[in-house]
Amino acid sequence: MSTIETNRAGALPPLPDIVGQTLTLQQAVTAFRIMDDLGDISCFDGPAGTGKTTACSYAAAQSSRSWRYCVLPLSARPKELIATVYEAVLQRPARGTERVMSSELTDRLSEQDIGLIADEVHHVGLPGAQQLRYLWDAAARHGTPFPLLLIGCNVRQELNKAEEVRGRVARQSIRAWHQIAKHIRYLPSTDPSVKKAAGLTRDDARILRAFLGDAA
Amino acid sequence: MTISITEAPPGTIPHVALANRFSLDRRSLLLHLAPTNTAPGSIALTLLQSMGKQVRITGGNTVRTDEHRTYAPLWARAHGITQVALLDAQQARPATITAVLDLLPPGTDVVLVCEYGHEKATRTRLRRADLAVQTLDWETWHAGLPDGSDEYVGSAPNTPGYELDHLPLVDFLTFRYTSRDLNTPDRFAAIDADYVRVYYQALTVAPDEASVINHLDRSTVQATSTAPMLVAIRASQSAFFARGYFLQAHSDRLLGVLSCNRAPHATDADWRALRAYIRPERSATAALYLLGIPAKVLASTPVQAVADSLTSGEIAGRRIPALARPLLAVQLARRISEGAQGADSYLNLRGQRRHLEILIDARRHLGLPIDGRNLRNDHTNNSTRVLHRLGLEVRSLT
Repeated sequence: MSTIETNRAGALPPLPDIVGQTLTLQQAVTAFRIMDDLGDISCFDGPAGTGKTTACSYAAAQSSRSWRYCVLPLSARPKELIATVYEAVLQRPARGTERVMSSELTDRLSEQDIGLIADEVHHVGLPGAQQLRYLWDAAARHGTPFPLLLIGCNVRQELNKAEEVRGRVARQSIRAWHQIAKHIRYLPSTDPSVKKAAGLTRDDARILRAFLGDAA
Repeated sequence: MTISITEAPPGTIPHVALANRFSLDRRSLLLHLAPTNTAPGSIALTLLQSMGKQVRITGGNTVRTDEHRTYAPLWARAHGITQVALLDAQQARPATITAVLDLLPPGTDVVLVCEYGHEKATRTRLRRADLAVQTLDWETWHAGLPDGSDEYVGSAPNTPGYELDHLPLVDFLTFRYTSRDLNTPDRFAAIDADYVRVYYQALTVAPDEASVINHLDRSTVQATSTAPMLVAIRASQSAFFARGYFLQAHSDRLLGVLSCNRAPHATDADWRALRAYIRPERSATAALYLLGIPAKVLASTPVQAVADSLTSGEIAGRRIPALARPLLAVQLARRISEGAQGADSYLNLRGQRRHLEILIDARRHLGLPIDGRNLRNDHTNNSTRVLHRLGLEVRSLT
């Protein structure tokens, strides 16, 4: 049964057995929780492999809301992008015009019981982010905004080019290479079912520094 | 027509700040055009959508582009729109704004709402295009807008708490499980309460078609939409299965059978549901039927009769509810624009059964408990036709 759930459209990527409890991860989880509560837009930004998706999977596993995850297509063509989100949110093959799919998406997301995680925002750039913003705006216009998480590699500057996008991203979690937080076996392992993440101890920090080659 | 421009202060998202402050019932609209909405037909369709038209149902997306341009001004006039706020105005081209203005009734107040930091550039661009706009202070304007939604929130009696769209398109064996999977806990609780009630009632019903029809009719007598009827059908199938009988049901036909012999009893939710149609003749046909015009007379109703009814406020001896007036007025405006005279047909439908098909579509797509089906022509003496005629058949599993 769990295999079927994992393979469904819109399912989050599987969480690694061990997730390093770094400060950045905890900040990302906090940002995620606030977004979950307020139903606004957040952005996880950082280079590939720094654990952005892992952080969102980890945070989503602790949320009471259902989350739909999608990897955005390589182009920002409106219909293609909306079809990708449609399949993730409604968990059925996309069909119909862009307008019909957008209408169905807005209705479903306005029910506020699910949130949307859009990964690889750098694929679609600012035009794609604008499309997602229109979707969020359509739900907000009815007084029922939904939580929307944008994940991408170094997309902050791109998103900041448009005031209407920059103004809607309520919080950003920036990750860098030295903040890598996944698959580090030297860090204390974490059970994803635990509600509150434990902080790092001094010893953990020392081991992490040694692992990362930081003599200080 | 006055055109104003305003700008949201820093940190304010106009879509959020203006949510629930505009509604069709207050004769005001919140319009949002994406930059790709530049073609006149696309702009008209977006305007129609902001008036509650659904592109997903029959008569929505299949409507031709020129029809959008024809019907959008008719609907805006029928609803008596007086104020429109255009969001993301900084992205709209002057030609797009002009196209919007052309679709709205004369005398409408149009407010162009810009995101923070864009008002000056937008105003300059519009001035170059010879569009005179006056500046509006956001705080003053926003404070003067009515707050809170006056939309229908399910306060009508016997509102089931769920709609046809919330029910799964699966057979009775997996219906309850899939319903729980698809719906929020509150909505599933409402569905399940109806399901369990009918299930226990069906345990004592005699296993023949007439008894089952009577049982379904009794258990759904208070239903204001077809959604509780479908739940009752699935629950009865399940109960009969547990007793060793297979209650085969053609749900669409059975819903039609359960709906066709009921006197139309329209609720506010029905009038609002009928706003979903773009083509005026669809909403007008269903509205006339719900107001008590018999199905046989629908097609021959003249233009003058409806015009007189809208003037007097009564039709077939009943008062026309405020929510139903735009549904009738839009078709009247359309027929007048087509040059129809007083004695001409108000609906002007092609084919003798078209008005009946529209009633059936209204049941299928909007969940209204009405149907235009005529049962008299079906064979009643052929047992293999029972499922076709009534939509159900009872067989023993042993």
